[in-house]
Amino acid sequence: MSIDRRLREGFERSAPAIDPKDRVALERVTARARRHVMVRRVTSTVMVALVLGGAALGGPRILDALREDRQLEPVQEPTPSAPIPGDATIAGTYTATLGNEDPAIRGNQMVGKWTITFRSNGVLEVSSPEPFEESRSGYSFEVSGSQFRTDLFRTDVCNDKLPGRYRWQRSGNRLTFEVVDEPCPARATLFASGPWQIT
Amino acid sequence: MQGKSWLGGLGAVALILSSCTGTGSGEDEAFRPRFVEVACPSDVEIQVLPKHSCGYLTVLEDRAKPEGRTIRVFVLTVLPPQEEHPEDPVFTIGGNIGEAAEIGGSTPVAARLHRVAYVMDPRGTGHSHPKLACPEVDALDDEVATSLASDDDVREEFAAAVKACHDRLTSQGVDIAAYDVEQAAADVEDLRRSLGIQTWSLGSLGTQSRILLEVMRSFPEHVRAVYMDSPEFPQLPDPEAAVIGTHWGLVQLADACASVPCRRAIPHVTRALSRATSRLNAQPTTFVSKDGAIASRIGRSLKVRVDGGKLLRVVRSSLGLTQFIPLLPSMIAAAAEGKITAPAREILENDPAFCSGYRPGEGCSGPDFSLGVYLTVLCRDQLPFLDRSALADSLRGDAAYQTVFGSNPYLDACTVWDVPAADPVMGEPVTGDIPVLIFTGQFDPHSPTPVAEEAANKLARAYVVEIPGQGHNVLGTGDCGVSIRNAWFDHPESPPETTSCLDSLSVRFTSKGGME
Repeated sequence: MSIDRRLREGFERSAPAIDPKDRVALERVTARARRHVMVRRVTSTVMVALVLGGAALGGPRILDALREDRQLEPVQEPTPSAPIPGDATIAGTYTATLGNEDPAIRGNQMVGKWTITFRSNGVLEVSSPEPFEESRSGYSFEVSGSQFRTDLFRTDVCNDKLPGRYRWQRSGNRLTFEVVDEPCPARATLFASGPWQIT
Repeated sequence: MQGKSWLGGLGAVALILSSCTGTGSGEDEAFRPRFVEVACPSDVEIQVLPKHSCGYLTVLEDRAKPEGRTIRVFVLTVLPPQEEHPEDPVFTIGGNIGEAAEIGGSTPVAARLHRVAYVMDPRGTGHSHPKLACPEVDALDDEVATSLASDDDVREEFAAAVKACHDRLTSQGVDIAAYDVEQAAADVEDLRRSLGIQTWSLGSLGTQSRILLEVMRSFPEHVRAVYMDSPEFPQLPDPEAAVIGTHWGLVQLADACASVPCRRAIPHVTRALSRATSRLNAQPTTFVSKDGAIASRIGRSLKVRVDGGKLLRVVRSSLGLTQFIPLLPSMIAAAAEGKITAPAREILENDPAFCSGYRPGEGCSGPDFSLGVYLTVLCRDQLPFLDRSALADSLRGDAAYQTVFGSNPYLDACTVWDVPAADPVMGEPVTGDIPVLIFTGQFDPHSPTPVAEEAANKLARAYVVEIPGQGHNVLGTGDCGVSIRNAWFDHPESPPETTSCLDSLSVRFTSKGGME
């Protein structure tokens, strides 16, 4: 059995604390009870005739709204399942100039001056040389100690590639990256071509 | 007594009104879809860097059977990095019919649109349970690679493998007809309701647009705006669209190649392709694949055979793959001389059985494909509405077109993938006034621009943006489409304004890597 399968089955076992059949039964009971309460409330008013009369016009919308409200699950804010991205010590704006020696750089038209801003919210902002036409926004990074991970260019030149892992070091105005595990050659060359100078 | 009678009367009124108004996704009162968070699968965890979570939506397999089986649909939630963001989220469904969500590629959407993003593996695909993969058909990859496109025997083997997959899934209790567009769209609506979302926007990448379009048709009141990259539309079944799209892509290629130096190398692209397919039909050629995906899987080299039909499939696939488009003129010119170039070999030696040329090429590179879902959507939602005489007319007597599209093996597969026809409305155009932005690639033979424009004409506020130089999936290639989408998304009621980046885009043909 693969690790992935074991993990998935483990997750599934731990997910629903209530047996699904019990949950369905519970929900049926709850739904019936709510319907019952709704009907009692309506009948307790002295406006039954109006309700019946108005049902043909406004009833469908009202009932749909009531039903929709009843069926909604509580809104759940997603729980972070990844480390908090960003690290204040790497935050800042850096530049580097890439030469045309590396074929991955030449092939992807990445030769020239690059600027990268690491935001404290885990977002990368990239400014590239003019000929580079790939998507530059919306990418993320994650810092954990000396480890750095990023999905930069995931939707373009690094399509279908997993995020790259690096060791990073900042010394004065200089930021350097050393490749640990990087499946995307263009990204590897970009980061490892430093040092990046803070601006 | 009288009170009880009133109660009964009110109950009856409520029941009548209930049956009139429906429940949004149409589920019976006895069952309520539910969304439960789970720890993310490891393959998701390793790809997604922003804050995120995962969960399963449990829904009825067939909503017409309220006491029937339930299935689980996987959903990834990605939070935007911006602490303050609009309340309305965006729902994205990534990939082509039968494919799982493109998890890593969908992740930046949250940051780019400043919204919580929900990414779904449609029912039957990816992490959703059950998954309708067909390993019986996958086992034919080497057989198809080593056969000619015109080989009837291998088509029969394909149909037999499809039948075996059908029989296995149905014996396991899977209701294969339930993995159609209508039910998948209802899953999207059930997710919205389960999460308590009042209004959201929708986005699709590829042919899963069919699902979003059905959401627009059935549940429009909760949709703020929609963007679609390289979409298919319900009014045009894929077997017809394949011919139209291939012709369109080739005309675009010929026009683009009309400039020097491309014209000098290959004066008439379409004529050269006709020469190439005729030559290869008369004299099929072979090459040995030692390290392609198929050879690696079976553990030995194989002789890949190529005839005119195979070449036409490669050409259609290449028109959809942006990185292959610059190599196409030289690929066609070489084939007219009986040579199969490296890019063509790359497609052929890695191609799952009957994938390239039929399904968008990007989906042909991965093993994670649910052929069962593809077949149900094709056989149930499309083929019943296929105009077979129009299809026959469109082949124009071309032998390679006849082999690939006239004798389309998926038409035979649908005779054994036994699913009833969908409601005829599923073959009708979608109308409405939801703001829609449609992206197409200039050469894309899977989502040709004229088809998108015609579909957009049925929608009151739809805009089509063609990205020059590109094939299928334009939002995954280059910043231009992404930046247009992002700017439009804030004011979707207006046409996209910031389209100046289109002016600098074009295809740059090269023979590098193409000529041998």
